[in-house]
Amino acid sequence: MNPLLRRRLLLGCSALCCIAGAWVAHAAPSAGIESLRYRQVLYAMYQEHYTQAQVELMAGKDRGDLNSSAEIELLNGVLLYGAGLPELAMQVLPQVLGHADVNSRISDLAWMHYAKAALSIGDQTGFQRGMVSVRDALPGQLEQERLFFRANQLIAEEKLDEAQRLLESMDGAQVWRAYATYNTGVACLLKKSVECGVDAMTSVADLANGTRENTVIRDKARVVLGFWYLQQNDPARALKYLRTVSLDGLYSGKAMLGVGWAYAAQEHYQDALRYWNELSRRDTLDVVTQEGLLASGFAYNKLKSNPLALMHYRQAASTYKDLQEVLDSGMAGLRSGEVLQWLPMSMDDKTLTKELTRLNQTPGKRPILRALGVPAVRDEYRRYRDIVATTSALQEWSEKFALYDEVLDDRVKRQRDRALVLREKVKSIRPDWLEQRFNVAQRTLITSDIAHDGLSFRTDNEERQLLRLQSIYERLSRVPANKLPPNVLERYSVLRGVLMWNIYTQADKRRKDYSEQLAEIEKELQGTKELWRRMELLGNVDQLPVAKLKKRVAQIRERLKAVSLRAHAVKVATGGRFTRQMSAELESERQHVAAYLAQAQYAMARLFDEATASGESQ
Amino acid sequence: MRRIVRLLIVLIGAPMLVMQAAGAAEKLDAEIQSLKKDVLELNKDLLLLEEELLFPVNTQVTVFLSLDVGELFQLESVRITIDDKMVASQVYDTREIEALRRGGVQKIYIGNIKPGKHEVVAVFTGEGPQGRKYKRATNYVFEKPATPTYLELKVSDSISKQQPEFLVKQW
Repeated sequence: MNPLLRRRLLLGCSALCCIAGAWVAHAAPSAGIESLRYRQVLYAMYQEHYTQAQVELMAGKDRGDLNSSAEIELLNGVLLYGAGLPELAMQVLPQVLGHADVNSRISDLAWMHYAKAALSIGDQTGFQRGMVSVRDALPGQLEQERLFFRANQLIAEEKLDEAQRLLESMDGAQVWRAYATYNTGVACLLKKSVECGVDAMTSVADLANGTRENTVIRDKARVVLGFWYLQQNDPARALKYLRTVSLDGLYSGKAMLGVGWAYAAQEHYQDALRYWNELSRRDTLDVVTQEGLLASGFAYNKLKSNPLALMHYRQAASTYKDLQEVLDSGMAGLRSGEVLQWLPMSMDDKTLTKELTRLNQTPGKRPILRALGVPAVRDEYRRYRDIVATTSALQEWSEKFALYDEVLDDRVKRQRDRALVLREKVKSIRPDWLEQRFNVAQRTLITSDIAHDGLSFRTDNEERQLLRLQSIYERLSRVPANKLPPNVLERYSVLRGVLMWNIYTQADKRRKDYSEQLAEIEKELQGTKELWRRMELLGNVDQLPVAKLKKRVAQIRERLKAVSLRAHAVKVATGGRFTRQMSAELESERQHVAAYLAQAQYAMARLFDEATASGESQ
Repeated sequence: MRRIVRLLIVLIGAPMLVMQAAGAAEKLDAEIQSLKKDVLELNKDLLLLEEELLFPVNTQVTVFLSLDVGELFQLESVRITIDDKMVASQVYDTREIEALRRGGVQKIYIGNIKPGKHEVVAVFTGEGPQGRKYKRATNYVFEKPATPTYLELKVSDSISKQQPEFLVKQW
């Protein structure tokens, strides 16, 4: 990707883009636990806790609380990008399109986030692919972002008129248009299209007061215009822009330096000195202040106040030497690894800013902190902090395993105790004995049903009575008929009839009672069987859910160990790269200072020569 | 001749060193990405394991907090008790309030209770209509089944009453 385009886009984006701020839910689950889980993810995301949000989303999907849908996959991709995994996000986002419930809005959002992820890793093809796939206007702030990207693409392709037309069509957030217009101005000036460049810059420089971002880009444009007019030997116009730059803003130092040069160009050295002397009281680590120190000497020289000029050059030289020492000590600290020990590693921007501000009070640490302002160093610092945070998290997680072991051991112990109680409980009950009883009873019921035999349900008393009648009948049958007492057979028949009548009239009720008893035996049998099964299961610890959990804990512990080792190696490598980048920055700074020192020494030598030549004594 | 050889070495060697450095940087970036992906997976597995281990489904209770509109009540803090035992309390900062206002839901408590009848009480403090200090409590009696229980504490605006409402919903 064209590095200039990428830098411009990222510059605008770092000031204005925010993933959480741009998120618009379109097809969110509307009810139930799915809605709660989904909104739980949003809660973390809206606070810019992207990793936490991503983990909640993944866990929700694993639990089955969050069903895969276009909306969920879109959120997944966006969070991966937010969590610093743009390449993975670029794999996930196109998959959104494969969902049955995808609509054009979700598809456009997926492509826009795809383009942003590609931009963050400098993948021009991916960025183009994402941008051209967005078909309609996007919701809210994202549309401003899209137009900003498009305008910058046109600028990079040198289609400046088209870019201008697009910028004019942009409504909504003025600041997006301002950033893109500023980029147009830079492109025009680089192309030597002066009129177009100055017009673009002027329109940004003339912006009214607004948000903080608005003021930043406006001041930047004013400084560019001021120095542009200075180059064009038009100090009056340069002053017009440079004097209106905010005094407490990011570009105030540069503006003060420029105002001084504009006055100097008009030979108003006293006026120039007002600004340069003020500037020289500022942070000497700032290259603008360093230049201001030399400029003061120059102005006094022009005012023919050579002693004062010499004094300022001496002060400048002494400051540069001090700076060199500070920079050397910073580089030594980097080499020894000491810097990595004291640099704050918080991933929370608010806390980090607070800690850096506190450290900035320590003079020896300031060159390092200043170097963090360089975008490449800042990116590397963020990457390193991210890895440090990851290794700390891994360490914290590994410490949790003692608790997991304790919980699991306690659970195993409780299960063993439960097994003992159960064993005691089932000792007196044998499922095989109950089963036998059940089988006999069931057979009886079936047989009686088949034979319609009411006798099957006679009571023990009735059984005895029947046997007695049977025995009487057998005895009676052995007596000759003429010897039988009168009516004895009739009496026997009546007795038997009454007994059978009783049995058969009760049969239905008894069958019902019997069935109920059978059901109860069956229930008891099932219960006993379950008790036995549980007892046997509890006896075999390896088959228990707790054993499966133990296995999972062991597997995760191993994975954690392996990942921790890798994380440590990556931390060392990232720390090394960060240190090298920072050292290179300090080295370049040192060379800068060395050049200024040489200039100060040369100016002093020249003043001595002049004095010697004119016979003056210094 | 030696000079020419040296020059050649420098000319060929320098770009090779640059390429090697770029390759090493790319490799490190790829390793960072791969590591972060694995850490995410691990983090998710640990979260699920911890839930399963420390909050078994038959005793698990989770309390969520949501804010619907929130024009009539500026939430400052909340304190939650279950069966007279304080289980969670929080003072909110502006970022958290904004996240709730935009539709986020906070998982404020996860813990264990026995199946059966329980009572949850939530005490909300903040600023009510016309900027007055506002403190309200709401209670809810619920039956804990042998499955996970989800309770949502919902702060919403009652436009008709021009007062905030505090509701508890069992999912």
